[in-house]
Order: sequence, then C-alpha cells, then structure tokens
Amino acid sequence: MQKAKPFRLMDAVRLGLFGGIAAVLIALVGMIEAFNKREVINGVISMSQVMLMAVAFVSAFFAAAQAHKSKPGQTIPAGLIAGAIVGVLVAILALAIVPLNMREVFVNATPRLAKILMPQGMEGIAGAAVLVVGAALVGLLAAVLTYLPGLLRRSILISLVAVVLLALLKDVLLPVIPEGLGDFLYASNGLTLVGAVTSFIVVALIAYFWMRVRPSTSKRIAAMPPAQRRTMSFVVTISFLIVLFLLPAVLGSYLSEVSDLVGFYIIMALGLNVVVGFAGLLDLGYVAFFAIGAYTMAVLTTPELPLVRGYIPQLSFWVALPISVGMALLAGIFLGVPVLKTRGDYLAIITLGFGEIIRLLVLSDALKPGLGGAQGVTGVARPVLGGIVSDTPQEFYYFILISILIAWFITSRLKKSRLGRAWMAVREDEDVAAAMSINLVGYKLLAFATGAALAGLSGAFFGSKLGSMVPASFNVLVSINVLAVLIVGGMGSLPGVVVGAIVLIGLPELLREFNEFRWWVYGIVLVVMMLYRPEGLWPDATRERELLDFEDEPNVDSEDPTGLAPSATIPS
Amino acid sequence: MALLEIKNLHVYYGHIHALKGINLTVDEGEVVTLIGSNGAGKTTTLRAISGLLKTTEDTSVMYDGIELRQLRPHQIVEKGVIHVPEGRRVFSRMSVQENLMMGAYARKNRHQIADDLAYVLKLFPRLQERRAQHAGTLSGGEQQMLAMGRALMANPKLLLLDEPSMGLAPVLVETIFDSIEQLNKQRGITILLVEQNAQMALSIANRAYVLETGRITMSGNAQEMLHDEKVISAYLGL
Ligand SMILES: Nc1ncnc2c1ncn2[C@@H]1O[C@H](COP(=O)(O)OP(=O)(O)OP(=O)(O)O)[C@@H](O)[C@H]1O
Ligand SMILES: [Mg+2]
Repeated sequence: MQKAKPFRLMDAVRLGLFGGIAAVLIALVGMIEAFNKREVINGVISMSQVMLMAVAFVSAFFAAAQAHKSKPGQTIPAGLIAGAIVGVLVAILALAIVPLNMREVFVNATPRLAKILMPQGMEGIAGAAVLVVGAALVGLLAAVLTYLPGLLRRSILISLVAVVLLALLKDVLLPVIPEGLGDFLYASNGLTLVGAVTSFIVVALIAYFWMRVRPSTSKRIAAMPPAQRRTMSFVVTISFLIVLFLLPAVLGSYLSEVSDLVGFYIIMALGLNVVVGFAGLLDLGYVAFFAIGAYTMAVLTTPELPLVRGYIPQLSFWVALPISVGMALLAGIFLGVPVLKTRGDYLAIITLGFGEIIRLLVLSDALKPGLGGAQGVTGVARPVLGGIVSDTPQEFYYFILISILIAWFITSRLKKSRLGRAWMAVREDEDVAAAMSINLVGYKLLAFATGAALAGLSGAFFGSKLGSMVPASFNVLVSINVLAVLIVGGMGSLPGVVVGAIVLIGLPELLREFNEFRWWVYGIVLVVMMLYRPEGLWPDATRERELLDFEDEPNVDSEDPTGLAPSATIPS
Repeated sequence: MALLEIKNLHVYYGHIHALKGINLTVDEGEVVTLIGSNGAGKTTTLRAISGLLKTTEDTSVMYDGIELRQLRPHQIVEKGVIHVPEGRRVFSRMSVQENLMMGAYARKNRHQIADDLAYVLKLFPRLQERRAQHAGTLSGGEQQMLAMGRALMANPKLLLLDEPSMGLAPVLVETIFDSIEQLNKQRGITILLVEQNAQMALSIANRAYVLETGRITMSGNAQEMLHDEKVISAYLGL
C-alpha cells in the first residue's frame, strides 16, 4: 500500500494543510485560549503553544516519515514544508481575526486569540513570519527525528508526551510528591526549565532502556524452567499487590477519589469483558445492572423511603451487598432468557432499550415512594468494619481494590476454563458452537449473569460511596464508556481493562480543569486507537503465546503424537 | 434397521414452505446422498435434523429410537449426530489444534480424544503440518478438512455433510471424497451427504435421494441413478 505511490512533495503540502486546518479548528473552538493560562515550562512555553507545535510536529513527522520510506533525500524538505504550512495557516488566522471580525460566526475568534496565536509580544507581518519560521523549525526537528534509530526516536516521543503530561498534572502531583522534588520540578505555573529538561532526559533514558532490555528479558523469562518462572511471576504479583495496597497513603484524597472512580469502571469493564469480550454478546444496556446494584444498596440501607421501610427493615451495608449483587444477577438472567435468542445488532438494540427502561423506572413518579424518583435516594449506608464507618476515598479504595481482585480472579479463571473455550466458540460462530454440543442459551446466560453480577457489585459500592443517588448517574453514557474502556484496552484482555480504564476514565478526570475540552482528548484517543491500534493498548495475548509455545516445543511428534500435552485445550 | 428415519418433514421460513413433507431413511453404516439444485432445500433438511430449525408438529425425525424433534441442538450432538455446516465454518481466530479440540468439547475420555486426534491428523496430514496456524488463514480446502476433522473429534455416529466439495479444485474434491469413503469404511460412520456435485456424490454413495423444491422426486440405488437418464440430464450435465 505504501509502496504503490512514491512520495511527492505535494504529499507534504497536503499533510501540512490537514495539520493547519486542525490547528485553526482547535483555535476556533476555544481550546487554545482555554489552555493558554497554563504554562508547560514556566516563562518559556505555554500549553497552547505546545498544542500548536504538536500539530505542526505531527504533520511534519508523518510527511517526513513518508518521504523517508521512498525518497530519503526529500525527508528534510518534507518536514520543513509540512511544518511551515501549518504555521502559514495559523498565521493567516492570527492576521485575519481582527480585520475580518470573525466573531459573529466563531465566538472564540477574539482579538485576544489573535494575540495568543502570535509569538509573544509580536504582531503583524513580523509576528506572522516568526510564526511560520518557528513552525518550519518544529517540522525540521520532526524530520530529523525520522533519521534516528527507532528505539531512540520512540523514547524521545514518549518522553515529550510525558513532560507535557507532567506539566498538565501539576496540581494533582504536587501534593503527593516529596516537597524537595516538587520545588525542583515545578514553578508557580508549569515546570521549571531545569525540571523539564531533567525529567525529559530521565524519562527518555528509562523508556530507552526499558524497550531495550524487554525483548531479551522476556526471552530469558520464557527460557526459565517453569517452576522458576512461576516463582518469579508470584514474586512480581505479590510486590505489585503490596504497592497497590500501600498506594492510598501516598495518593492523598483527591487521587484516591479518582482511583475509586477508575476502580468502579474496572469492575464493570471486567464484567462486560465476559459478556462482550469472551462471549461476543454486544450489550449496550450494561448500565442497567450497575443501576440495579446501586439502587438495591440504596433502597435497602437508607433510613428514608418510609413506604419501603414499612415492609423491609433497614439493612447494614454488608447484608445489603450480597443482595445487591444477587439482584443484578437475577436481573441478568431475567433479561437474558428472552433476549439471548436474538443476535448481534438486535441484541445490542434490545439491551440498549433495557438500559433506558431501568433508568426511566427509577426516575418515574409512579415508583417514587419505592425508588425516590428524580430526587433519588440519600442516606445510603457506608461499610462498617470493626465499628468504624468507612467513608473516606482511601478507605473505599481498599474495598474497591479487593472487589477488583475478586473480579479479576473469577474472570481470569473463567477465561481459562472449559467455559471460556465454549464462550470463545459461541463468539466465533454460534451455529457451529451448537454443532459442538454447546448449549447456546445456557452458556450465553452464564456470561450475561456473570457480567450483570459484577456490574451490580460495582454499583453497590458506587451507591454506598456517593451516599446518595440520582437517576442521572445511570444514563447510557456509562454503558458506552465501559464499552470504550474495553475497546481501547483490548477486547477480551484483563490487563487491557485496567489500562483502558486509566486512560479513558482516569485521565479525563485528572484533566477536569479543562472542562469539556477533555472530551476532545477522549474522542481523539478513540479515533486514533481505531485507526492505528485497533487491537487495543494491551491486547489479549494468551492465544499468541499458546501458538509460540507450540513452535518452541522441539519434538512434539516423538513424545506425544497427539500434541495434547502442551496445549491448554484439553477438556478437564 | 434404519438409523435415521424422517417422516413427513415440513419446514416453513415464514410463509415460504421450504420442505413439503420429506420422507428419508439412512441405515446404519450407509452413505446416503441428497442431491438437488440450488434452493431445493438440502441445507434446510440438514439443519432441521440437527435441531437448528423448527419443524411442524406432524414431522417425525427418529434417530436410533429417539425423536430428535424433542431435543435441543446440543443434545442432538451428544447423541452422535454431527453436522458439518455449509461453507467451511471454522473458528477462524482459534488455531487448528484448538478447533479440533473444540469438536471434542462434550467428551470426557482423554485417551479416546487423543486417539481420535491422531486419526484425524493421519486422515488429513495437511492439518498436522498446520496445527499451530490460525484457522482463518488456512486455504479453503484446508478449512474444509478442518471442519470435517472437527466433526470427527465429536465422535459421530451419523455425520451430516453439507456440500463438502463447494468451491474446491477437482484434486481436492477427490481428496475430500476419498476421506469420506475412508470414514465410512474404516470407522463405520454413517453418512448423510448433501451435494451439488452429483457425479462424485453418487459414485461413493450407497443410495441417493433427489430433492426438488422441497420434495423428494426420486430415490434409489446410487449406482443405478448414475445411469438414470433423468438424473443424467438434470444433474450430471452430460
Ligand atoms: N433463513 C431463511 N429465510 C427464508 N428463506 C430461506 C431461509 N433459508 C433458506 N431459505 C429458502 O429455503 C429454500 C431452501 O434453501 P436451502 O438453503 O435449504 O437450499 P439448498 O438446497 O441448500 O441450496 P444450495 O445448494 O444453494 O445450498 C430456498 O428457497 C431458500 O431461499
Ligand atoms: Mg445449501
């Protein structure tokens, strides 16, 4: 595909135009202005400048990389041209804003924006010229990068992104890192110059050596005798768990709060992973089970709702928890029985409808005496352990962490079991799975119920943590978010779920100060992922490993003619 | 004694009356072929037998003394009736080995499974070479072998084959039909074979049925049919 057409400088122009239009759009929607308050490096470069440079950089990088492949001689010109064109478009915008009075169409096209777009303290043609030259230089830098060996290039790119993130997350990180380090890294606004350079070098070095040693390390690990390998993975797991358990002490309340939110999504996504990732049933109404878990917890434990209290005594958190999970599970089965005979798109639409029905039910006036209606329910019980009420984010962190571990354990077991195989077959081809004597309805129900129970578990903790509940928390966006977490993480992969939740739920949460613009990040992540890494950030690799094991096995045939021994496919 | 005895099989797809009262028997150890042109209802017949389609109340599908209509698809499989569907439907993201093991999903006896795996790999040496490969990357012919091998792993008594020769080169068609004959002879597996390639099907079958728009229009000894003028002009294209 790439070979079909040799590179022409026109391609660089095209990429530059794309980038330029993107930059202009970013400016016109107000993102540049919103980010201008923030500096990346104090007194040197602001967030908005970094964004514009990033656009020029990306365009130039693609142009240069394309040129590098078919016409290496044109690499530098390609980068320069693409970068400069981005600069030209931005400069045109900066010059045109005031004379054209674009505000009537684009509310954000203010004279202030024009000033921000221009290099500091410059205006008119001179400013525009500097802008274009600057963008071209960024393009040149990107072009030079393509000459570096891949590993080095990747380390530099990773490190650049890391430095920007470090600057963005200043308010989050400052309270949790040692004071000395904080003073070294951060200035009043953004990073210090020394801090930025140091962290750039440190991150680049770490990334470089990590990528350098990883292949040989994993090969060495693979070569270890199984007993040793098991011991090692045990030690790694345990140390990882210890870190996880110590984390809240370091995190502080805000980061714990964010971790809790990520945790709710991890539990849900682990559950939905069983339904969509393992069994291939597209469930768009997953939030329903989350809501059922949360509302069961709320209704059973709140002192309010006199009507309910007339029939059911007020329960404690720990009694209500299994009931909440059980209710979600039952709901999963009840919905599953009629619905699971449909396939694909139909299933998706039916579940979507079910999710809305549940939300409308808890919102409805008719059920208000039982479910609180639009005002929701308050006074939901908190977990009490040894007489102490847990109500801080840090305490909840532990409950959520334990729930995640349980969910992880269950789903990873299921995946490797006979059941996991059957789900995989159902996902691949229902008819053939039936011809392998797989009870379609039964196995699908099992997947659905497992997923529902985990959503209920997440919901119960969610309800308890919030302490009060409104129907608005259970809209269809939750279902979509959980699904997006799965897709970005890697469908069917357990570590992928965690990575996906951190990237899609945690990161936007940390960037809260940028308001709705953070959803741009979300959208961009989704689009870019689907284009360049559709298998997800941490794809499900077990199958590939299985295949590798196979080839590594030296004399499969002489020892075991059936090859049954090395594979994990034997029904047990 | 008839292993499979179908009486008055009717299937409707909505208003379309696809099978209009089919009677058909397959004796134990036989190869019986069901031939007919596109849309005659061959696939529908097999799907009805394996419980994937609803049949009318007065239909009877007796297999080994059991009424299959009362069973769910997976239960029918457990009775030893294994369906190899049309169009080589392998689990494309599983390896060849995993596909084969999927066939033995309901079985418990590991030794028998191992024996059957060895047999399948001997019957289709190509699969042996490609055990670790993803099934989706196999060639069409290899996928057909895999689909049949997978069915064999389920330890069939009655094998329902839906157009195993579809879209295959003549050489491969020979190979596939050779293995069908072997299965029947060596393993004593009874076979109901649906085919458009009437020439090949008739040459390996004991008996044959001709299906036309949902009705059996002819039946009898396969060898005789090979020389029947009506069959020759309609299905053998000579
Ligand atoms: N799901 C369905 N819905 C409606 N009509 C169907 C369906 N499946 C099959 N039919 C119709 O039933 C008739 C028999 O179809 P069937 O697939 O059994 O034919 P066939 O003999 O297997 O044909 P071929 O040799 O082309 O595979 C055809 O007229 C077909 O259009
Ligand atoms: Mg057919």
